Amino acid sequence: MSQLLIYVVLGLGPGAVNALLGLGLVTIYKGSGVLNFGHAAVAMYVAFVFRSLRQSFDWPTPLAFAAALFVAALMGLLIHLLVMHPLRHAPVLARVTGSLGVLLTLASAAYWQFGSGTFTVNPLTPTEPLRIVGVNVGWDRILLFVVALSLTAVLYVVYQRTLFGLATRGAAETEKGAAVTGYSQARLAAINWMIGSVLAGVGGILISPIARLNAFQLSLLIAPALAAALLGRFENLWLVFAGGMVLGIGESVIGKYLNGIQGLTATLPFLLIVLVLVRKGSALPERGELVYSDMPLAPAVHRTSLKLAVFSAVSVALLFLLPTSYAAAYTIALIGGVVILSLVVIVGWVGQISLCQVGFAGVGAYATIRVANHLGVGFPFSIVLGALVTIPVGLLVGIPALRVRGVNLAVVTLGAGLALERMVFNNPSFTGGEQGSALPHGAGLFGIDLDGRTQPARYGVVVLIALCLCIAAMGNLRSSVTGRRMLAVRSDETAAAASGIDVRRVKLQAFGLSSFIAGIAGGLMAYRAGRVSEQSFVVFQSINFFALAYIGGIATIGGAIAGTFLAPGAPFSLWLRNTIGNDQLSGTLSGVGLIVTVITQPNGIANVVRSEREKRRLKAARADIARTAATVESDRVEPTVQGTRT
Amino acid sequence: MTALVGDQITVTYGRNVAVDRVSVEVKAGEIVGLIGPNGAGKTSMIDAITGFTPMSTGSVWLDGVDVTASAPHRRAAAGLRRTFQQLRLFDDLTVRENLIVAAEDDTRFGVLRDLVRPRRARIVTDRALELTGLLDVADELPRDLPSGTRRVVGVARAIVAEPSVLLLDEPAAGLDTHETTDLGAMLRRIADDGVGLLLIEHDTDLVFRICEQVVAIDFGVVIASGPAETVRTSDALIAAYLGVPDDEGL
Repeated sequence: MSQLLIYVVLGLGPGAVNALLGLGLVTIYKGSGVLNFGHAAVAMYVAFVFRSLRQSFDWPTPLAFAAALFVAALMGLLIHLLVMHPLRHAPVLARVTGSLGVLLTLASAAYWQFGSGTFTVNPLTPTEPLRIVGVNVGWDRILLFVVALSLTAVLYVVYQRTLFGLATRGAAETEKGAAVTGYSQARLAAINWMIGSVLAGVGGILISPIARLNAFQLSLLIAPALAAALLGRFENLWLVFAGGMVLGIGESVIGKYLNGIQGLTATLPFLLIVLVLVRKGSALPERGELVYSDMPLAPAVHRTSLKLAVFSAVSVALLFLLPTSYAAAYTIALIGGVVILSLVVIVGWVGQISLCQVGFAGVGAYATIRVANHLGVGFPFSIVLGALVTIPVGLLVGIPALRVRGVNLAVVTLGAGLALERMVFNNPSFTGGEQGSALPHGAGLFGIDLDGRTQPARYGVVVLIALCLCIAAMGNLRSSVTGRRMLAVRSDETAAAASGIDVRRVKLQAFGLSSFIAGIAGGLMAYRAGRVSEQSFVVFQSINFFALAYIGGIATIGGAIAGTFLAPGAPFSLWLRNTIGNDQLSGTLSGVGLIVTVITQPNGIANVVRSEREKRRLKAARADIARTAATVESDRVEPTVQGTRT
Repeated sequence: MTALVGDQITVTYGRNVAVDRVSVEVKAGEIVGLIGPNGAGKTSMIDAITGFTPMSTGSVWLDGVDVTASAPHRRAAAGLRRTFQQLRLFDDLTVRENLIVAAEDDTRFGVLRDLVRPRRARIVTDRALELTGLLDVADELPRDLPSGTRRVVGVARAIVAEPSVLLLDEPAAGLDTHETTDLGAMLRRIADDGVGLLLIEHDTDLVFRICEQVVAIDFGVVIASGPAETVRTSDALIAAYLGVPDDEGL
C-alpha cells in the first residue's frame, strides 16, 4: 500500500506540470482559437532561460524566476503578434503549421543556444523530504502540486468572475462575441497568449529540477498536456487539472506495476486522447470563425515524364560528380523526397493532418529488415514487403480520422507518432535490438553492387528510381478520378458525401497509400546505411518533414522535391556543418522558414512560380466571365418565356 | 411513379423538436415546394431525408426502396441528390471537375488502378453543363465565378449523376429577379427530364410559379399541404407568414 502511495506521490510532479501546461493550452485556445503545438517548447525555453540566469549568471532565484516569466509573457506576445495573428483567418492546416513552426524554431534555437545535452537544474526546494502518513513526500512535488492547484483556482475565478474572463469566453463562442463586451478581439487574444505562456513557463521551470532539461524531450510534453486539456474538453479548468494529475499519477503507477509493457507509460496519454476524441468526434469546441484564405493550391500535373527526365538527368550527374559525402547527402535528400510525397497525399490532397509519417517510415524500415533477416527476401522485394506491412499500421492510425478532423487529427497523429517511437522503436522485442536492426546484405541486383555504404552514388540512383516511380504514380493519381475525389473530400466532406463519395473510403485509401510510400522511404533508409537506429524515427523528424513539405508546397509534387533539399542530413545541412560547423541551424531555418512560408506563401515554394502564371490566367478568366455575363444578359429573354409556360 | 417518400419524419435536437412527423412525396417529373418561415425546420427536413441528420422517427423511400438506414453517400449514389444553402462547392476543382467527382462511380480498389493507369473522366458532364448553361465556364474555378453562377454550379453538380430526386435548399437565395426567373426555368427543364424536385425556398413567388404541390410547415409541423393553388390561399399559411389571420393574402 505504502509502495503504491510512493508512486502516487512521485506522479504528483509530472501531473502538476501536465495540468499547468494544459491550463495554458486552454487559455490560449479560448483567447485566440489556436491550439499551440509549440506550447511545451515555450515551457522548455523559459526553463532554459531560468537555468542560465540562475546557474550561469548567478542571479538570485526569485529574480531569475521573475525574469524568466517575463520572457515567457514576451514570447507569448511575440508568437501571437508575429505568427498567429496574421493567420487568424487562415484554415486550420495553416494555423497548426504555424504553431509547429514555433515548436521547431524554439526547440532548435534552444539546442544551439543552450546546448544539445540533458542538463541538471539545481533544486528549488529543500531536498529533505516531508514525511506524511509514513511516506516521504518531496518538497518539489508539494510545491508543484500546490502551485498548479492554486493557479487553477485563480484562473477559474478570473474566467468566471471578471469582465475579461467573460469577454474571453464570449470570444471563444464567436469572433464577434467579445466585441459585445467592449474588448478588442486582438487584445484579448494577446493577453491570453501571455497568460498561457506564463503558465507554461511556470510549469517548465518547476519540472526542470525533477525531469532535467532537454530541448526535445521537454518540448514533447505537449502530448500529455494536450491530453489533459482534451480531458477537460478545453472548457472546464478543474477537469483539466484533474486530467493532468490523473495522467501524471497514472504514468508513475503504471510504470511501477506494468513495466513489462515497454513504453506504455509514455503512450498512455495518446491512448486517452484517442479514446476521448473518437468518442466525442471532436473534443475541441468549435469556434464560430471566419476562414478567408484557402487550402494550399493542389495544381493539376502536366508533362510529368518530361520533368522527371530532366530531374533524373541532373540527379544522376550530381550523384556521380559530387564528392562522396555530398553524393550520400543527396541520396538522403532523395529519400526525404519520398517521405514528403507521402505527406502530399495525406495532408496536401485529402487535408488530413498527419504528424507521424516518419513513424510509418520506421515501421517500413524495421519490417524491411525483418523480412530480409527472417524470410530471406532480398532487395528490392524486401522493401516492397516492408512497405506493405506499413499499410495496416497506417490504416490503424487512419481509423480515428474517420471520426475526427482538422486540428484534432493532428493531435491524434502526433500521439501515434509518439506511441510508435516509445512502444515499438524503443522496444527490443519488436526491433530485435542491436542485432535485429542490421540488414544481412547490402543492396544489389543482377550482380551489380548497389550497397548504400560502399557505393553511395549507385545507391543514389536506386533511390532516384524509387522516387521517380512514386512521383509518376502520384501524378497519375492526381489526374485520376480518385485524385479529384480526394480533393473533393479535402474541400468539403459534407458536400463530398452528398455527391455520392464515400468519404471514409477515400480517407482510408489515402492513409493506406501514404503509409505505403512512407514505408518505402523507410526501406530505402535501411538499405542506405545497412542498419537503422530508432533515433531516425522520432516524432520530431515527422514534424520536421511536415515543415519541409509545407515549405515546398504540401499539395504539389514539385513541392516534395523542393522541400527535400532542406532535409536534415541533406546537402544543405551538410554544407552548413562544413562551413559554420553547426547543422542545427538548418532546424531553426526550417522552423522560421515554415512560419514565413505559412504566412506569406501558404502555397509553398513550388507554387510561387506558378502563382505568376495563375495571376495571368485569372485575369484572362475574369475577362472571359465579363464576356459570358454580357452574352447571358442578351440571352435572357428566352428562358424567361420558357419559365412561365406553366 | 413516386420517386421519393419521406414518411412521418421527426428530427429532434436535444429537447427541441425541429421537425414533427412531417411527410412529403415527390413524383418523378414533379416539383414540390417546401415552404415555411425562418426556423420552421425546412433545412432539417432536407438533412434528414438525405441522411445528414438522424431522424427520431420516420422513414425515407427512394424509388420504392427503403433507404432510411443508408449513409448519406449511399443515398446520393442511389439517386438522391441535394444542393446546399451555403453551396459547398469544391473550390479546388474546376466547374467540370466538380461535376466529374459527383458523377463517377466509386470502386473499392479503383485507387490502385489510378496509380498505374489513371481513369480519366468519361464524358458525362456536358449534358448537365449544357442544361444549366455552364459550358462556357466549365474550366473555371468556382471561386472565380459570380455568386449567381456559383449557385447554378451547385445545381449542376447535383444533377450530373442523373438522380431520381433532387432536393434544393434555397437555390434562389441572393439571386436577382432575372436570375431567379432563369433558375425557375432551369428547374422546370430538370423536372421535365424526369427528375423529382423538392424545392425549399423563401421566395414564395418562385415556389407558387413552378411547383405543382406545396407543403407548408411552421415550428416543425405541417400547416398546409396539397396542390399549390390550394396551399397559396389557405388561412394557415397566411397566418404563419403574417402572424395573424388577414384578408390581404400573400
